[in-house]
Amino acid sequence: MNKSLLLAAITLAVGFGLGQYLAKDNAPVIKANKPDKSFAGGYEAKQDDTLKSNADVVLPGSGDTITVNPGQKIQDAVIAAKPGDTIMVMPGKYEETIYIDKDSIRLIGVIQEGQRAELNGRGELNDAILYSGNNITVENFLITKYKGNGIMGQAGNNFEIRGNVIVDTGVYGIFPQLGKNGIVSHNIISGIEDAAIYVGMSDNIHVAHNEVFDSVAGIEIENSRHSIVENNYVHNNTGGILAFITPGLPIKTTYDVIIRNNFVVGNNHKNFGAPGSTVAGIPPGTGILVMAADEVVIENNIITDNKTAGIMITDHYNAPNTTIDEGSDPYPDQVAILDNLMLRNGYDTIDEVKALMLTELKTGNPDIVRAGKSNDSCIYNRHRYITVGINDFKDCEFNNTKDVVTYLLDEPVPPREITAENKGKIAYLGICTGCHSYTGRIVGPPVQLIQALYMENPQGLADYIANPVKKRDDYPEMPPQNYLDEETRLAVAEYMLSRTN
Amino acid sequence: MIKRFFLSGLIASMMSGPIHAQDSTPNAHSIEQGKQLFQSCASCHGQDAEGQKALGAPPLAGQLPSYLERAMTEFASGKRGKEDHYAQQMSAMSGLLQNEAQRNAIVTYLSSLKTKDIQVPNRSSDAAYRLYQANCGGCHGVKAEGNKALNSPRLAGMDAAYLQRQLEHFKSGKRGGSSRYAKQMQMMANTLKNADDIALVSKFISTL
Repeated sequence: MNKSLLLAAITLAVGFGLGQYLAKDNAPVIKANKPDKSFAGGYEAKQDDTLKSNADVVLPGSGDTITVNPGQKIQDAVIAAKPGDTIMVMPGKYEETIYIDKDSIRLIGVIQEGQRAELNGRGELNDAILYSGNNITVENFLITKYKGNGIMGQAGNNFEIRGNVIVDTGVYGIFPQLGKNGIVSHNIISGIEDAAIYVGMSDNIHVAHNEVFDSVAGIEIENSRHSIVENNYVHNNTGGILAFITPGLPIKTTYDVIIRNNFVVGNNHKNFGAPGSTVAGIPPGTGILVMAADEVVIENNIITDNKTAGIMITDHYNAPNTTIDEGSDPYPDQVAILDNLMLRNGYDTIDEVKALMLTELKTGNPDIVRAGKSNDSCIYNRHRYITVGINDFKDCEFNNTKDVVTYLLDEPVPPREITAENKGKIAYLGICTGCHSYTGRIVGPPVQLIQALYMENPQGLADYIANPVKKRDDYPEMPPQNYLDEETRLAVAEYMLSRTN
Repeated sequence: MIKRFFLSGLIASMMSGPIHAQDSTPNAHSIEQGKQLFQSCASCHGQDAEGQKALGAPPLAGQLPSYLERAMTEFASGKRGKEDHYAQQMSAMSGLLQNEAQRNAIVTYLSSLKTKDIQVPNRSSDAAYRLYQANCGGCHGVKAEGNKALNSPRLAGMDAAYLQRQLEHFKSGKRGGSSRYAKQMQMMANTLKNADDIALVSKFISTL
């Protein structure tokens, strides 16, 4: 930038700030509270075309019960089960990966006098439970020492994941990908090097009553719509609750996310994400982080002791480890910050935030920080907080979200249609994009780089995913995808190589 | 290991004439021979193969053997050497590279040279860092240290102007041709949208 222009800009900014400061009356300007009005929510079941289907659903729990005892394989019970059956797993240690590729299975760990059914990956297995069926329940397990995922959903709808204790399971704790109408509740998750709960490219999701701690990201709502995150206890992560649009994924939006009634406390954990990965850029001490997501309503949370900031809002240009995706709007628009209890945040913030505060001649420890652009956002009772970057936020026209009880649906939604033609696409969306975005690095290398390595060689890629070999020291090892049949592996390889964004 | 080393020493001592360094075990003799041969290269690439910015010569110390071998073979065969005047200078030196045994000795010497530890500052909020990690780091390494398994050369320590030139050559098709690796680089160079991105990422790598 031209030097004199820069100087002029600084002079102007300082002058403006000084003017404002001098003009300030001693009494804060406190706006009267608006009439009690709720956020209307952004979802109408009537207008949702994906709900229209005549398919018969076998209700979970309507079939037989199969009991698994220590020494037996849970996977054998899954193979024997038919849709509607319940699998009860007795307390004891089970060292295996479970694949559920049929619908309406309830997989339940029996708790006896505090003893749970323990899935243990011995630090060698990649995933504890992978499901691609619809109407799946996973309940009451203890899951530990896996390298990849605790519980991952791959394009399964109507899921219920509850009551699980997940300790130190690698990259993602609970990770429903490409699911609709699902609930994640009453789980306790810790020690995850990416997100403890990661809702990816999903719709109508309810994340409630979970405790997540000692992870890089606590709860992450990514490229998903119509989600509620409420009543969770989120502490000592690097970043507490995240609402993201991650660029380079095939589904390009995140909107209509309500984050309410959570404890977001002391999320100051050292960032131990894989270097270069998206979450590795989160500054320790971030309570709630909104990146490019729209219509995010933050209400009634207790947000304390997060050293960088209580709430941080950023566009893609100012976000760490992020690339620009022309298919995604990079700005977080219509963010609404309603009443939240904020205390002792921003006490040891990062240089970027200090620099932002300087431009507004602000002192003190920031509760709320906005970097980059945001359109049509609002805040309620702004005088309560130390803020930076939100002068152009309007006063909110609603002050609660009580009209939106849940985005879960009364009836199960129909399964996604999987045909020979879209098999590759569904696998790409439901599996690959959990770690690979087109342009950037979520966990694994970007898709455009994979395209360069495997151009004109889909078979080579299909063979690799069946039996990956570690090639990059500083990337986590890719888990084998050999549970997919050969035809699907080739279809997904071809689809991946054909993507353009 | 001792056995293998001994065996390769034995074979080497049985042979007269140039050394065939097919076994990758570093061998004192071929290191010494490579060092002597490298003297002809040192005037541009630096006495310790550290590179010379002013002469447009990249550092070679610690570079991946497979990459050095490939680059030298390509200059020797005339596949490379026409990209710009620096490349033409390199092709003028290619007489030295015609002999496989000599090439191997130089590779052995260069890859035996120690390199300094690479420090990547925590600059994840920096656009250049992001661009590098997203577009280059997946193959060339988070620290630009190179990746043997992917045949991607080390970039750390290279000068920004050199890197910028190579990226532009890949983009325009001047460097590369039809080999698989060249095509990969052409494709990735094209993911850098404009001259600013190329300059940004080149500058970032040059600081490592």
